[in-house]
Amino acid sequence: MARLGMVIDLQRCVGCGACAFACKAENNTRDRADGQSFNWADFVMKTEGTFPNTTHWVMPVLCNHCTDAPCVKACPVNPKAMYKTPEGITMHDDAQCIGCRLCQYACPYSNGSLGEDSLDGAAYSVISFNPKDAPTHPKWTANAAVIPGGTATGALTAQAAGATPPAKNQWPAGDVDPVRKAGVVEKCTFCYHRTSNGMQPACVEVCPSKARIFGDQDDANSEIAKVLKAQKSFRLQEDKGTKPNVHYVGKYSARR
Amino acid sequence: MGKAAPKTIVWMGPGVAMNPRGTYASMAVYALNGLLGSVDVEGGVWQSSSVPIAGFPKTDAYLDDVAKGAGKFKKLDGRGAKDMPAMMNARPGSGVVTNNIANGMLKDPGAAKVVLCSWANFNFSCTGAQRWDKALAAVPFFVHMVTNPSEMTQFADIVLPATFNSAEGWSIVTNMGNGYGYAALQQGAVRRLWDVKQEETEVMWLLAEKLKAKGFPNLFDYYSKEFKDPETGKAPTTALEFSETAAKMTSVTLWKPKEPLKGDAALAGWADFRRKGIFSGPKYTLKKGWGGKFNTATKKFEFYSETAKKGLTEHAKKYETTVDDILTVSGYVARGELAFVPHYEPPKRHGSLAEYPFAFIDYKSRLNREGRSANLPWYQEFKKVDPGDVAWDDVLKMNPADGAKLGLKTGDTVSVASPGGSMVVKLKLWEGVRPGTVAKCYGQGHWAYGATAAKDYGKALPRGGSNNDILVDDYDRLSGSTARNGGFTGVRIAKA
Repeated sequence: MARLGMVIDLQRCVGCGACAFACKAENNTRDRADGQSFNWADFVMKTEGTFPNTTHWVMPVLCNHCTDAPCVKACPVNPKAMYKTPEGITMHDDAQCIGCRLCQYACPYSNGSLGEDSLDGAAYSVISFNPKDAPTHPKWTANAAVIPGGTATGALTAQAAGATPPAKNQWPAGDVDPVRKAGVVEKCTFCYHRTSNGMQPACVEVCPSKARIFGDQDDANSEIAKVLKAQKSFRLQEDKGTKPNVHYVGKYSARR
Repeated sequence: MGKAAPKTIVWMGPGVAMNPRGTYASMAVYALNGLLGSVDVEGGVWQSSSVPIAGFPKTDAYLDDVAKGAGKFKKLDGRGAKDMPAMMNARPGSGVVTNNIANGMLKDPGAAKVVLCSWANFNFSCTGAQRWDKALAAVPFFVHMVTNPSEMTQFADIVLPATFNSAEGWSIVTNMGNGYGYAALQQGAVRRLWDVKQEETEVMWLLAEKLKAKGFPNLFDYYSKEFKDPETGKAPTTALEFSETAAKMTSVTLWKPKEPLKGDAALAGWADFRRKGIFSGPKYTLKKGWGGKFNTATKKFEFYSETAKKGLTEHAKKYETTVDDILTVSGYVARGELAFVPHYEPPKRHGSLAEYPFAFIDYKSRLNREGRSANLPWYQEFKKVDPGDVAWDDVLKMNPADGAKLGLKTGDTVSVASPGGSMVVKLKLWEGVRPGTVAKCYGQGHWAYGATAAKDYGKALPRGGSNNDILVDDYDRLSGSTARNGGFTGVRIAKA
């Protein structure tokens, strides 16, 4: 059985954001609200040093699909809403989720509520929560027009397009619902609907500098295994013992 | 650089050229590439490449005397004026100086009685933006054709919803990249959700129909007699047919060429072009300018520009004066032979150092598609990918050392004043900017650009500040390029 994982080469990354945009388009994630980012792919950013000896670095972040995933351990339902697939993907079953958010609180890479520091790359959350009894894409159910009688409302646009959100990416595979329901958490699935059908995750496919490598870490011939063997790598918050399957190599800034 | 030559590129981006006196800085870049031997070689800088596109039929037979006379009027953008040589390819008066139109309109308020404008949003996108507010407020009849209401739309008498051309319209887009010239077809790929029209073809057809009904048939006759489907020979009968026919006619050279084309495999016809959506020419030929084939007056690579000399001499002759005089009135310090070689011109700065101590650095957000991206929630959400920027906000970045001197801290609301105007924005102290300068991305500060870009559209409350409210309208007059770069506007920062 494969042991899926990802390597992000920070030397190759140019911090352009393409991965995060591709993720939002692919997975129909909604706009930020009430401390939830809904960014399955996001970034940590930092500027260090004193001018002119300044370095700026960017680190793309996503669910680490941990081998010992605290979110799975914390999930109280049976069978679990948050569970591991045989290939190692940390998956979420909307039908089983009771919206208790214990997974979000248990995950070292998540925040129950993001503050302003998430707007400049200081904080992020790989798990987001859709509030109960509220539309999961409020922009596209809203009935207010910017110019009443002059511009379309979100609801009208969705109606005309025949989808909510209007640019909805309707996965053909049908194994996972492409849009979440109210009262459940959501997170990166390593693009399960794509990767279980022979494709690469959207963030990998779209990266213009090929900074992301996805594959089977146990296959010695895979690019990911070769890179992990050849280069020094690290994972986020190793001390938590979660054994992430997202690895980083290289250094973002060319400066020493 | 010499060590790496000829595989060394000195890139001439807008930062070099788009500032007052930028012509000579761009000539220096050109000459540097020449010295490095990097022109037209692998790893160096290449000239342009393109694929052949057909033109539209001649209009001569359809112009009445009014049109013939009016077509010869002086352009409102001042191109070719004594102090605005605007020399595209060294031809005086051939460059378009869009931002100077506002000055022309203000000088001669009766000149533009009817204005039709497509997509543009000069009230936000042009430096010295306030001039556009004044100029457009005085236009008796203004029609704005746009995909979404913008700042400029607020001055319109009629607003016509336009197609989003990448997916809803018909047109041929030509460009080059990675050594290939190409033409791509924009086509009606999706069902239009709303009653929108492509402004350059459909709206013009509908206008022509109405003019004909009122007894002015020339435009309609031109469209309906001269435009024919290259496949069927059929003339268009509707606005949409006219639009598609125009796209077919301009690209017939690609999908039904008279001689086989180099490059991509031959297209089997219009349907094949529609299916593929693009045609790329052959890979760029290196050294194509070498050996006396450069597009210059001497046909050689010019360190001493005989081409500039030819253009400037022609322009001076038109005004019965000297090249030195032209340079003086256009704001350059060069005199004599210096006019034709790259040389140092002191950077021009609006506002004294004493009164406006900071140089304002305007730069483009990596997320901007021209100026039209700020209403996208994802743009706002990931604004932080512009180093130092903050999502859903617009920050003026200042070095912490300067902040300490002024007693300012991150999060303070500050006013930024220049000789041209002022704006109010949030401050961020950041080590990524040089002391003595402040920097802010262009793109935010919309007060009317939809539900996301403006903080409150109904109340005209902007999200952040518009750089063009403080940047002074100025030009590199030899090329006609608008100045945006090089810190040419000084600013004063104070707590608001």
